[in-house]
Amino acid sequence: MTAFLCTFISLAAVLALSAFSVRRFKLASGLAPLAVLSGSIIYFFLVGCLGFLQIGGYVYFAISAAACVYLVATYKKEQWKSLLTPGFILFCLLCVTCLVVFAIRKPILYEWDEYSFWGTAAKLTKDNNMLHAAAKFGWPWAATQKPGLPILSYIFNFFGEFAEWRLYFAYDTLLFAVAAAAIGGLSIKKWHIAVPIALAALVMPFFHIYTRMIYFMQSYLSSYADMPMGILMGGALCAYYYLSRHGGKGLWSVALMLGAVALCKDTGLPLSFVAAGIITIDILFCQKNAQFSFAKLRGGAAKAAVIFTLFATSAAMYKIWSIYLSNLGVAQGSVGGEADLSPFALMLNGVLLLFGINNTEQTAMFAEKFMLVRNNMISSFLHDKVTMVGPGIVVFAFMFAILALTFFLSGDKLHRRRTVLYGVFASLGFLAYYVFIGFTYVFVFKNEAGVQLQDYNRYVTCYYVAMLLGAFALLAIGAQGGSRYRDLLTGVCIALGVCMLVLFGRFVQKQLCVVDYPYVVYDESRNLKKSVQCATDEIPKDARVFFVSQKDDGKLWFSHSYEFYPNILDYSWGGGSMADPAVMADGEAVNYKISEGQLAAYIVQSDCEYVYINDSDELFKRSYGALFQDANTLPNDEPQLYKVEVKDGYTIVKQEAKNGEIMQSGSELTLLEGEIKPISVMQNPFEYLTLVKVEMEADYE
Amino acid sequence: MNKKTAMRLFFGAYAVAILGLLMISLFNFTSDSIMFATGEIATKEYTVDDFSLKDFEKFQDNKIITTSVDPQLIIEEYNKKGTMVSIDMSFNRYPGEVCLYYTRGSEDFSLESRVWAKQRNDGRFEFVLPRGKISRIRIDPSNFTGIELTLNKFVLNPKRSFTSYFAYSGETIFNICVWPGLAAALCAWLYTAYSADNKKTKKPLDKTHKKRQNNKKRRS
Repeated sequence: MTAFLCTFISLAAVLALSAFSVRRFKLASGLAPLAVLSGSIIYFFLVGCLGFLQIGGYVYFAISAAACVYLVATYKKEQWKSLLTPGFILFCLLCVTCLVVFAIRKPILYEWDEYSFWGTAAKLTKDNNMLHAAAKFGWPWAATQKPGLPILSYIFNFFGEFAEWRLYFAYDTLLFAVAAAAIGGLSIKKWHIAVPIALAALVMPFFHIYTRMIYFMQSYLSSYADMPMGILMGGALCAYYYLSRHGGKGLWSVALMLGAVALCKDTGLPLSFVAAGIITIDILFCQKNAQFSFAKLRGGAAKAAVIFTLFATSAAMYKIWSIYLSNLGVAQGSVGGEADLSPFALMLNGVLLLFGINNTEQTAMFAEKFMLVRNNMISSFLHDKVTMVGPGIVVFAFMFAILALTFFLSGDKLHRRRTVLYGVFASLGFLAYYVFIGFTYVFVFKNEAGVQLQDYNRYVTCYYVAMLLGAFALLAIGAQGGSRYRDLLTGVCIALGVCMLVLFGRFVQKQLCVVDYPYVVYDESRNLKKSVQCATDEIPKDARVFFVSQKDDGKLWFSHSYEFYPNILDYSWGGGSMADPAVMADGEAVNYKISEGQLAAYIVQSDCEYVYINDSDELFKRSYGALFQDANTLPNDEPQLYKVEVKDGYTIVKQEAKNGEIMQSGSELTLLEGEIKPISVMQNPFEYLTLVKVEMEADYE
Repeated sequence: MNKKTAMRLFFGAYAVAILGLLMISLFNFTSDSIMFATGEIATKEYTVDDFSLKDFEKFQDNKIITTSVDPQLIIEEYNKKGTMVSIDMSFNRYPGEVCLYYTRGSEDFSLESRVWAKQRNDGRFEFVLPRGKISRIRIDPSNFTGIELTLNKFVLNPKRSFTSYFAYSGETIFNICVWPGLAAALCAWLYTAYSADNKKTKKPLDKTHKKRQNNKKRRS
C-alpha cells in the first residue's frame, strides 16, 4: 500500500505539471504528459550530472505541489475543460488502471539484459541517489549506457523503497503518454477518430512480434530501452504534427522529447537527429513564414531557432553525458567493440566501405565482413519477418498505404504536401539509420554476431514503430480536417484500429502478455529473490560474496548480483562452471580449470567473506570438497551459504599458468590464450581456508 | 453529431457490452445447472490410477514422482462438456509451471489450447475449462525431474459457486474495454455519414467547407 501511495504521488506530480503546462503554456492537453515526462527526464539528468539528484528530486516535487496550488487557486471552469481531451483522459485512465494492476500483481524482472543493465541501473540510481554510472558495483559493466530510462524509473521510485513493478509502471506511463500524443491534438468531439488511433498506438509495443507467441511476451513489462526509445521518437513526431498547425507554438516540447530520445540509449542520438531532420523539412516546406513564431521570433528567424533548438537539445544531451563520464574517469570517446573506433572514425570508415573504398588499413580489415553484413541486411529487409505485418519492405508498404489514403482523401492541400514529404523523408531517415546500424554490425559487433545481425529486429523495429506512429498522427489530423469524399478518412482510422487489434489478437495470446499473464511466469525469479533474501539476512550489508553456479551461462550470475545488491557479488568468473583439472576425468568439460590453491588464493585476495553456492555438482565436490568444513553438504539442490574462515600464516605464490587457465589481473580475470602469465596460488589451501556452512531459513513455496 | 448523441452512443456501447457479458455469465450458470441436473455434466473424482501417466513413477497409492521435465497426467476419451477442474495436490519442492491442456477433437495437445491454474488460499489449483465439448484433458503439474507429487483430490466438474461465473479473466476485461469503444466509433462514423446523406449534402466536403469559410468572412 505504501509503494502504491508513493507511486501515486509521482503520478500526481506528472499530472499536476501536465495540467499546469496546459494552463500556463497553452499546450494541448493530450501532448502535455509526454512533454512533462520528457522534460522531467532531462531535468533529473541535469541535476544528476551536477550531483544533486535527490535534492533536485525534492525541488521537482515541490514545484509540482506549487503547480497544484496554482491550479486550484486560479480555478476557472472553462480552463479545466481544456483538459477534457481524449488524449489526456486516456492517459489518466490507463495510468491509474496500470498502477492498480501492477501494485496488486507486482511483476518483477525477467530477462537477461534487465539484470545485466536496465533493472540494475534503475536500482543503483535509486539506492545511491546518483546516476548509475557513478555508483560502485562489483563488476565491469556498461556504465556508459545512457541514463534516461533509469532516471524515469527514479522519478516513480522517488518516495519509498525501490520496486520492480514501479520501474515497469514508469516505462508504461511513457508508452501511455505517447499513445495520448498520437491523439494529442484531437478534441473530445473527434472521439470517434481518437478511439481507433489510440488503440493502434497502444498495440505498437507488440509490433515486433512476428509469429504466434507460445511464450510470455514482455511488452509493457520490460525495462529494455529499444521499444520505449522508438515509441518516444514516434511520440515526438506526433506532437510536432499536432503542434505545427498552430504556427510553432509549443514546439519547445518537441525539443524536450527529442532530447529524451537521445538519453534513452546510444542509438537514441541518430534517431533523434533523424526525427529532427524530418521535422526540419516539414518546417521549411509546409510552414508559412508569416504565421510561424517561436520565442518572440517570427518568420524565418523563428524557423531557424526551432530547427537549431531541435538539433541542439539532442546534441547537448550527448555532450553533457560525455563530459559527466569523463569527469568520472569513464571515457565515452569510442564506441567500443572489435575495432574500438571513435564515432567519427566509425562513420568515416563505414562511408568509405559503402562507396567501395577499402585501401586504408582499417577498411581493408573489415571489407569482407562489410560485404557479408551488407548482403544480410538487404536480405533481412526484404525477407525476414520482424514485425506483425511482415518484413521491413511490407512495413513500408503499410506506412505508404496509410499515407496514400491520407493524401488522396484529405481535404487540405497543405496536409497532402506534408504527407508526401513525410513519406519521402521518413524513408530516407530509415536509410540513414539502417546504414548506421549496419556500420555498428561491421565495426562494433564481434565477427559472428555482426554477420548474423544479432538482435536485428530489436534495433530496426524501434524505427518502424516511430515511423508508423508519425503516419498515424498524419492520418488522424487528415480525418479531423475533413475528407474530400465525406468522412472516408474517419473510416480509414477505424479500419486501422480494427486491423491493429486483429493483428494483436492473432499473434499475442492474452494469457501470455500483460493483459492476463499467469502468476507462474515470475515463479523462477520470485524463488531466486527469496533464496537470495534468505542469504542476505545472514550476512552484513558490506560483505563481499563469491558466487558458484555450475553450468550457468551467466544469466544467474547477473540476476544474483542484482538481487544481492547492496552486497557486492564478486565477479567469480561470471558464474561459469569450474573444476580442478587434477581431478577431472576424460570427457568432463568445464568453463574454467582452476586448482584448489588458485580458488583459495582468489577468494582471499578478492576479500570475499562468504561463498554462495547456487548450484554445485559432483565434479565441484571432487575438486574443492577439501576446502569445506563438511563436504557432505555438497552437492545440494538448494542454495547454500558458507562463511570464509582464513587462518593466519598462509602463503600465496605466483605460478606460471598454463594455456587455457585463468589468471588474475587486478580485479579482472582474463582467459589466457597461448600466453603464459603468473597466477596466484595458495600453498596447502585446506590448512588455512575453511568454508563453514551458514544455516539459512528455508523459505520456499 | 451533437454531444448528447455522441455520449449516448459511446456509453451505450459499453452498457450493452457489459449487459451482454452479464447475460452470458447468467446463461452459463443456468445451462451448467441444467446440465448438472440432467446428468449431462457430472462431478467426478479421479485417483492416480484413473490417469494415463507419462514420465511419472508411482511409489505409493497417491504419490508419484516425475521422471522427466515434461510429466503428464492424461484423461483419455473424456468427450463431454466440462466446467472446471479442481486439484488438491502437494509437492516436496517448487514444481514449476502447473497448467492444463485440452483437445476438442482427435488432434494432438497444442500450446494454443491450454489453461493456467488459479491457486486458492487453501492450496487448491483451479482450472476453468472452456465452453463446449472437450475430448481429452492433460495436466502438466511440473517441469522438473524428481518432484514428488501427492495427489490428495482431483475433481472434474466440481459445483461452481454462482459468483465464480462473474469472476472475469483479464482477457475478457480487455475485450470489454476495447471492442465497445471501437464499435461506438464505427456507429458514430456511420451515423454521421447517414445524417449527411439525409441532409442531401452530396457535394464534396472541402468545397462546402470553403463556402462556409467564405460566408463567415463576408459576415465578418
